[in-house]
Amino acid sequence: MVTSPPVDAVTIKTSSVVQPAAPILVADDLSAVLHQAGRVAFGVMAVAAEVVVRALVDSTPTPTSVQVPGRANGFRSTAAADTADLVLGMAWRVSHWANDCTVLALRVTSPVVTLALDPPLVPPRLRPRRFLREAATTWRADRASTAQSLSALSASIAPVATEVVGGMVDQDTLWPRAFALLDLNRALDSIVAQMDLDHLLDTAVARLDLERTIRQVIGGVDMTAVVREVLGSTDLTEVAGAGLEQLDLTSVVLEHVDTERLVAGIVTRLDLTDLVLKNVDMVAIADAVIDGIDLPQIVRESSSSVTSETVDSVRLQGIDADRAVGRFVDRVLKRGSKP
Amino acid sequence: MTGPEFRWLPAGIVTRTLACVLDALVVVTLLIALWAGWSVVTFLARPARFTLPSPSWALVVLLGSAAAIVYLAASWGISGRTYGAQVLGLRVMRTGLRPLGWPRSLLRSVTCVVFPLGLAWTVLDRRNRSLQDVLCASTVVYDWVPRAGLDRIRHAIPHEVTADD
Repeated sequence: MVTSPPVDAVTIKTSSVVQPAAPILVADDLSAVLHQAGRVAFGVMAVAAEVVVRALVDSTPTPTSVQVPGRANGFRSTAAADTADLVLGMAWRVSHWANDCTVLALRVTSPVVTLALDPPLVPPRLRPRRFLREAATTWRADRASTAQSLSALSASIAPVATEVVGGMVDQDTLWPRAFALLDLNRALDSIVAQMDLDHLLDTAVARLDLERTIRQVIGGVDMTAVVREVLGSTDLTEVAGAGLEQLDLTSVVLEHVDTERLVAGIVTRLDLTDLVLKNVDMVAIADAVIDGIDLPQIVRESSSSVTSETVDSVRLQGIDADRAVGRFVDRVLKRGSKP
Repeated sequence: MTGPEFRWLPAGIVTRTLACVLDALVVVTLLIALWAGWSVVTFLARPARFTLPSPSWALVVLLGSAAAIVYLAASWGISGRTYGAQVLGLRVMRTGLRPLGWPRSLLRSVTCVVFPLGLAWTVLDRRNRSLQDVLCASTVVYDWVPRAGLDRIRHAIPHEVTADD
């Protein structure tokens, strides 16, 4: 079995297998075109060879590994890989030679071809170049329709191909392998780093009909049952107690309640007299008040006060009378006032 | 001594006469009580022959005088004031504002009962002494403190009353 490479080492890069291609030369120079075509063909073959070699290695019972061209990650070279490199290298050299020969042939035959396409002494409408040009023009005109036919065919083929290929692929082994190769955390990090989450959320919220969504959610939920369940599993006394402990109810009420208006509203709706008569034990209150007051003492003090005032008044009047008699006697006896 | 300005001054004829009247009423009440008690006793002794006792005037005068002497002497000897003197705020004292003492109390009570008109001498005497006072070297003074508060009755106090005696 092949030991899986460290996850960190298997970073998927678009340039890991196929090196960045050189700009495609769209030139009239046929040799350059041929050269580019050869490079492309060999690139395809290289990838195919790598796939074949790795598939062979994986299917081999003995654990081996393969050196992937262009990747210096320590894979041991195998005979299969060396053979593939040798074959491709030889073919690469041969293709160069063939290319050079073709270019040389083209250069040599170019005047002949030119002469053959535009033969002298032949009317222009009968020359081969004209025929070829018309053929090319016709093709250009029909190319769009052919492309459309191809896309229609591919559209009809795609589901069938997907079904066929999907049936061939064991997804239970494919996905775990793919995820094992992928560093999902780093991938997510890079995705999140490049995403404008605020913008994403704004867009999502703008596109969502939140009210309708909430209505749908609420409509689909038996709120009574949910509330009952919550209430059943909640110690309301404890919750209310905890809430009340953090609240200064007095200040809250004083701040938010118009107590004057509240009391006025309550008082106007209540028959206070009837309420007191029905709910208050007036006799008990009276008894308590009388018990708290030393009534006999009050009566004693008040009556003694009245008696004292009366007695004092009589005594003072007696003194006045004594003095009056004394003065009268003094006048009659014509003597001075008594000491 | 503390108290209002009139305290310890010699009392005049009016208050002393009123006190005597009250004391006479007390003696009469005593006589009536004696008569009622005697009636009850005779009724309980011989209910079948019971009639209201009708003592002679001589006996009434004799008993009344004796009761008055005992009552006055006891009152003066104990506190210097009878019930009448208590009501009028008077106190009988020896000259110099000392307690009268039992002998003088007895002498004064006897003379008062025998010759009540001796009280009239109070009007003529410059120190408001009756004949009994002269005889017993006693004096009758105002001795009370307004319990209802001086301020409330001060307007009624005669300005002539001073404590310069």
